[in-house]
Amino acid sequence: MNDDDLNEYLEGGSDLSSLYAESKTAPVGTSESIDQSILAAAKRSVGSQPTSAKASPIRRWGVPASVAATVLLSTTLYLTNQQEIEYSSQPESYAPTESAINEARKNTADKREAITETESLSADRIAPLEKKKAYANSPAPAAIPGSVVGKSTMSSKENTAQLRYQAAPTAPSRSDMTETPKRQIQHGLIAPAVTPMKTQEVDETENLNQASGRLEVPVEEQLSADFRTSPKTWISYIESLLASGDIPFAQDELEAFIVRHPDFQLPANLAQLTDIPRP
Amino acid sequence: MDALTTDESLMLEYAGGSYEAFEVLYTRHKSSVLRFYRRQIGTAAAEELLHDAFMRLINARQRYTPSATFRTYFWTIVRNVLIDHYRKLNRSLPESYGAIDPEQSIADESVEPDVGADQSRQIQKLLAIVSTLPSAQREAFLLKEEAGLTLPEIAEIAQTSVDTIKSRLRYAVTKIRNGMEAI
Repeated sequence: MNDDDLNEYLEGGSDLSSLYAESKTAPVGTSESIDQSILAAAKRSVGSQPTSAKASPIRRWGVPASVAATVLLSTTLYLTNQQEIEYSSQPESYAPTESAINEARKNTADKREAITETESLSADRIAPLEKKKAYANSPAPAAIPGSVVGKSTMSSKENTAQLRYQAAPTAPSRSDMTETPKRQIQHGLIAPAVTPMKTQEVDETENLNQASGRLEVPVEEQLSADFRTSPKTWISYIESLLASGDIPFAQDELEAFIVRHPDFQLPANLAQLTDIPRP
Repeated sequence: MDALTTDESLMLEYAGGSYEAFEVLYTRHKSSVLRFYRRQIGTAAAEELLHDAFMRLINARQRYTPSATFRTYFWTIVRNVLIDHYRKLNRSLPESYGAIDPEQSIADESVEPDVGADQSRQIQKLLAIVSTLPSAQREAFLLKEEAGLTLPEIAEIAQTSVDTIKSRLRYAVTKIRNGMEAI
């Protein structure tokens, strides 16, 4: 068979193709069950499309549920993120504002004034007491800006920076624990702690008490009643010191009284006190 | 939906949910597919393969794209069902499928002739000769005559070269003609 014959056959015009085509005219009997099975499957496949879409809740609600979940997740993440941002920015917001710094400075100035007044009393009237008792055993007092005790070497800028540090919610180190009162004193937040051993526990009252020369009289009494303003109360106080046997203190107090009230007629028991030699 | 509607349109309509489109497709192609199976492997398993082929078409309806002609698409399914049948029976294809030279195949791959009583003697003779052809040559001849496929289409469906199909057809036609002349 040459190529021409083959090409003629492939083109479909050959007698062989015509003869075979005659064989196709005879009916091909397929069984009824095969036809029904195939057509039923086709009908099911067509009918299953809308049915499956209607019956499948996953298909119907898949997209809306996904969108809702996405929105919910995004919102949750956004809110959580916002809260984290707020928490992370809180130290910044805790940092003192300019007005807070000014208010702190004002309070510091008030306390300085109060302490200075007390100290001036001690310096002017009870100088001997300070020499002997209060400041004799104590180390160099912490500097109080503007006070008679010492002057702050820190600039206002440094003060502001330290205020910021104090406002930061960080745990102080051990060295900071000892340094903190000093810093607070420098910023006028508390009175200076004269005795280092008590620096962690001293309160303002104790500090004022110590600053005034370890007087036994409570600071409140000194500041509010101020027995030294009245010669009688001062004399009573000196007599109480004498009665308690604290003769050096009584002598110091009496010397201060005499300086303040040189013309005051001393009681006999106190007049003799000046003659007692000091230890 | 009439006789002029193309197979591609019918398949798309069926994929879109038209049962009537499938009915038309089934009516158009079931006879040729059934004859193909009967004359390729005999009448015993032909209907079963016909059922399998159309079921595969039903299941693959969503994957059909108009880029391929329906004829090539569908007859690829038909042939795959046939190949699966061969492998299920013998775990391999008939020897003639692997032979480089179609005449090297010496195994008897003849099947029962699909001959009807109402057919002429010539047709009966023709179908008897076709049944004696090696499976690969018979397949090429039947795909040409029953499906109306071209040489490249047959090569594409059979996943072989055009020359191989051409060689198989040359031997098949030569044998049929020689057999017909011998009557």
